[in-house]
Amino acid sequence: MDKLRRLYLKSAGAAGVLLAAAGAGLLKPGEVFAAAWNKLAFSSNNVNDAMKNANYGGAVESKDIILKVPDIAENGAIVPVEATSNIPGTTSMAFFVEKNQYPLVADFELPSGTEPYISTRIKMSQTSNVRVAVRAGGKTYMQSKEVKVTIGGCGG
Amino acid sequence: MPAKKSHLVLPVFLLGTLIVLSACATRPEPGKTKMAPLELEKPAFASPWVRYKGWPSEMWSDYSTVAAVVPSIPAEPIKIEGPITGDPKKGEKLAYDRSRGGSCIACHIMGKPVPPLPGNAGPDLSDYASWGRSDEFILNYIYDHRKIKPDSIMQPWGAHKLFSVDEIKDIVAFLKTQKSPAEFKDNLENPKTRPIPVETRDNFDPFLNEAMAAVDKGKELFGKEGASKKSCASCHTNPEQTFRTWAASMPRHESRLNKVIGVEEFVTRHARATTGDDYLLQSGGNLALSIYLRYLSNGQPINVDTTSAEHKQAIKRGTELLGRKIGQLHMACVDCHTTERGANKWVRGQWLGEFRGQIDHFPTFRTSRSEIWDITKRFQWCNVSVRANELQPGAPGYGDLELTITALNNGMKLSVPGIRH
Repeated sequence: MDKLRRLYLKSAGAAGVLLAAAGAGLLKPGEVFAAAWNKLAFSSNNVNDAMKNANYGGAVESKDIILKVPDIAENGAIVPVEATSNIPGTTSMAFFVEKNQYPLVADFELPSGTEPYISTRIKMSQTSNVRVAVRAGGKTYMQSKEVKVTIGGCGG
Repeated sequence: MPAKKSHLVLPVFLLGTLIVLSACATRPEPGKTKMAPLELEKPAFASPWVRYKGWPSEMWSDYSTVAAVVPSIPAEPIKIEGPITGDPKKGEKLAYDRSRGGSCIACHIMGKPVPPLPGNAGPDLSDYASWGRSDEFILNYIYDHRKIKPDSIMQPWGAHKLFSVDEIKDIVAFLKTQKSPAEFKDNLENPKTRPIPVETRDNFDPFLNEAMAAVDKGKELFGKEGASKKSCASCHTNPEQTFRTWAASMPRHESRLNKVIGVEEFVTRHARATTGDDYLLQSGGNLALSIYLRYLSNGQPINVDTTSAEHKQAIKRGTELLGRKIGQLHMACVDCHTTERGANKWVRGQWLGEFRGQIDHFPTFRTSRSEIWDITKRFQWCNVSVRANELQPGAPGYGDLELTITALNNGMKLSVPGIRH
């Protein structure tokens, strides 16, 4: 397995894969790109502020963003999410969970030549819409979908 | 002098080799566990047993456990005069309260609007007011159904002190407001149309399943020398071959301990007697070695012995335990995991599976906890969830349960480590 992991990292020449690795927590974001930490956006308490502070304010809904999420997540600890942007000139993609205390979950900057595809795991506190926002050619777009977080039957 | 010295060294060296060889030679292959050296005196778990951090700390000593029956006598029906005048608003709140054993919504559809993802292990009560039940009947059914419908899987909410009589009166008042069939926002909310969860993850993908790291760790420990300067590999030189089917034949009755033991306790006691390592049950090392040994048997059909006298007796005891009502919630394994009762239905948003399908993937990674759990820890969690004190790892009752449930899974292929919610 270690071999596999090494092979994976070795072959991770494409920035997209590196980004995925960063998302999976294998690399610290700082090791990938020295992007400044947007404290304001990550500490915003409602989704509209978070989008605005992350510079995705006024995003319009777009069918060219494909968001793949489970209808029902088995729990909120690791919800698998996958997004592809078919909008030409996509330069960044971000995930938001509307009902999380801090809705901005992750913001990925995509250097030119990177395939705009992100697959990662996110935490969700409860059933909520998940939004993916995209910046392309100076404009912003979004897509969203509800993920129901399972409530357990046993105990409190 | 040099010549003399070499004369001395050689025989000593040969003698040492002979001892090691003979120790291994008398050690049978693992199929014959009756002869494998085991340490038999000390507890195999961290003693005294203390419940895991982060688990409910409450103790439920007034109620039955897997180890002991505390009699619970069905309550005599409560007589009431006239209609019940409870507070339906308070009743609604109590019915939804998840701190009192999961809430009514775990098993029943009720409420306007219905709370998210209700279960259906019990009947739909959304139009219960039209069922024509008397107030006295409803009160008593909730308080303790056992004199009315003994085979119900419901909990004796009043008799087992989860709700007071006054609180139950409020719940009765709430139920009397339930007059029309439930409407659901979408097909996921309705337990009848909600898709049955199917496990499609590749549990051997190390990027998906963190427990795959335990396979590497187990392999490493297998080759690591213990206090006796021997490792597992000193004797088991070809583990891939030797352990091709072994784990699929576990657990088994160990006559020297007079109980059924699984891979985990075997690892603890065999290592103590051979390498000198002390891999306590529930420790990371024990889990890693147990996962590694099962990993070597992956793909093999589970094949525990069901014919020997000891196993027949253990399965008889285990079958009795599967039917034993335990804990403050007064629930038995069969209540949730047989199709005659709760299996293949929903408790809230969780699907209740049958016994078959519950073994092949243990130890398994639990995504909700970010932990690897062996089957013992799963039993312990089930116990605590129904408000019954758990037993210590290696308790004879858990051995009987593991064998009995594993026998129901005979023929299914091992796939360890698994990944589940």
